[in-house]
Amino acid sequence: MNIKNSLTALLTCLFLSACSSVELPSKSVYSLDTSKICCSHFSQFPWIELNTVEQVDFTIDSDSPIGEFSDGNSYFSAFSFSTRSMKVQLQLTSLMSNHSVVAPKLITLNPNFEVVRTVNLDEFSIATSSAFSASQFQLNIEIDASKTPYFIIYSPEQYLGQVIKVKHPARVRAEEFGEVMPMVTDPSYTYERFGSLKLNVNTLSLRPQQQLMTAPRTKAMLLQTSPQTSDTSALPETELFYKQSMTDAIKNKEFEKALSLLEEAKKVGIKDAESVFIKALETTNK
Amino acid sequence: MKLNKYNLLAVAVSSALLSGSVLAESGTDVLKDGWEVNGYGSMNLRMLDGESVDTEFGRTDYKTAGTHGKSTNQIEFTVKKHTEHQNGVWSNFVVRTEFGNGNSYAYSSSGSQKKNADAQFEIKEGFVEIGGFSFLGEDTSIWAGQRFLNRSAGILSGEFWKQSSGVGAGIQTKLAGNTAGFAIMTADPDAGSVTPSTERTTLRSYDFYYHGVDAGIGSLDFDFKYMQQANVDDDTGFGASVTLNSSYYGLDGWTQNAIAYGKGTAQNRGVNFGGWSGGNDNAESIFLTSYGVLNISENWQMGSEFTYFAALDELFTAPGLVRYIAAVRPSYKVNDNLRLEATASYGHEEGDDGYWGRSGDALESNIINAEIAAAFTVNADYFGRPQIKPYVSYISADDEASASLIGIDNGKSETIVGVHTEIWF
Repeated sequence: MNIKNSLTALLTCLFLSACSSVELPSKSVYSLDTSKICCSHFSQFPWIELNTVEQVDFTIDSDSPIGEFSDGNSYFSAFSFSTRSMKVQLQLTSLMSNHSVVAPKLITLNPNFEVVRTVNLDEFSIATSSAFSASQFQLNIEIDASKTPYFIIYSPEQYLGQVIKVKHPARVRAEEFGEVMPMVTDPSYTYERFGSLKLNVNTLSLRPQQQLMTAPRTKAMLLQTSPQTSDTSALPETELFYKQSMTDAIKNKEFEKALSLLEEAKKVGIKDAESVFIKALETTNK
Repeated sequence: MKLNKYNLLAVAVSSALLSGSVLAESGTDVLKDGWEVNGYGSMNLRMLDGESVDTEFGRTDYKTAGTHGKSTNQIEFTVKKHTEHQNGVWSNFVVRTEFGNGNSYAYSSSGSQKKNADAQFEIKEGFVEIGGFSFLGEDTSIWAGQRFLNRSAGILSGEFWKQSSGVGAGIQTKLAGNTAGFAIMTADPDAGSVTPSTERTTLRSYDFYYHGVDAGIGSLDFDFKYMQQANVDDDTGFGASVTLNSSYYGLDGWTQNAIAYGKGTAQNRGVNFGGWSGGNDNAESIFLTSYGVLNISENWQMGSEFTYFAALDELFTAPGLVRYIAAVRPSYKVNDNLRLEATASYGHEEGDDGYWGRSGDALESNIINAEIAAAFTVNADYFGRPQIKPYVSYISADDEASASLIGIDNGKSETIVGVHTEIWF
């Protein structure tokens, strides 16, 4: 092949490929309809319970619930720590891919579902991609799960539409390992509502059982950690919680859940649990 | 029961055992631990009249800047284990392996590839770095092992001009907000040799560096190296460099600009230490370089390099040796999957009459290199950057003698057609 042929072949190839250039349409930021809000109070959020050590890959997408927050309505994911966890190391990452990323905000809540801590985007660091992961926003924090057993991840409206430019991973690597600097364009990502995130939970210390008894928590908490029998009587808040949850479960025809609650209620020393259970059954059957 | 000392001891031991949960939160607890894997692959298919050829076409001597270098099957893996502890102490364990750097044969699947003694599977780096000791200050770290320390390379020539490559140990800290470090590095010129000499001529470099000093228009890095060699007549040398990291001459982008001086054992650009170091007391050189990338627009970029490397007395035993190169590479990102590149360079080499036995036309070389290439890639910002780059590179020398010096045996010019495959991950 002579030079002329080589150049012609190469240029033809380039010309044909250049035609495949695609411009991504820009996406407008719109407010979420208030009528789609899932719950009127944090306590009603669909909490996903985590294990003491767990890695969860999840997405915030159009199937996610919509909540009302102090900074607007947003899609969210809500998690609760394992009832056995006390000091927990939490890593939250939001993956940058296909020109977009969820700019996350994290809030932690106490057992009464009051916001205790807010972690804004500026507290997240940026980690560039390696062989096994994409570039990402990353947050590493320690949380006392006995004080803040719940946390919510969402992206506030004011973040949406902003663009972040991050160093190309090849540049980062070249600087770190002293390689020849590559000629690459640093990629940009738009903050959007939907994207992929990861949670990494590592329990550093376990929660003593005494504490468990004093805090009114969800079903799972007591299911996992209650003693087999108990002579102590339950706190009024705990008693109220069980009776209400049992009644609600029966009303919603969630009989398995109701039975579990009854078992637990008996274990924590609620003496009239059985009668409340029967009464609720009777009321439902009417 | 009266408590005697044994009872007390038993009580103490029991309470220590029972307080396991407290012990579990001691300062040496691991907070973060993980492995990172990175790597690089370079597979260059290039033919000349139906032959695979064993030449870089003068690229390593600052004569050309195209893609036509060697390495038919170079693969690197860098594995890093990073651990962080509760008391702030952290550690890195880095291993870098490499196969095939500089291979020019086209290998097949016949089994053992060890027919050529050059460039087989090698460990290029293996070192541990520990930092964050409360008694040394949280910005201080110590390291030991085999590594490349403080490397820098020209963007288009691809030549490393600053590094300390060998086995050593060092300490790095912050002084007045800037990075300061000291290291001792050693390297044996005969390491890996098939026929090593009986007497070892081990090289040593004492590295002092102070990096990141704010200079208004950028940051300055200062490096000083004192070198020694065992069992040779002229056994010392020193080198120093000042590097300015800045914008692209006031425009959007970046440049690295450096001046370096080297003498004796440190004749090779002053701060380029490795098994290749060494030189007599007449060896003295100056090195100037300026390279970087200009961001013209979202899709247009341009890389450029100017490098000058010359003897002040002798360099690599050649009196009056002068080398320089000027090169540019405009690049256009068509889309996330395609980038077009063009490269043009002018390289020059000369020396006093008779250097390295050269005379006549071979005394001076002027080489022009022009290349066009198209880099096909996957989503450019994800995981890594695999790319397949067909290229056509044209090299023209001022005369046949100069062409012959860079591996062109027939005439003054040559066109190389090839496909360079690379991946960074």
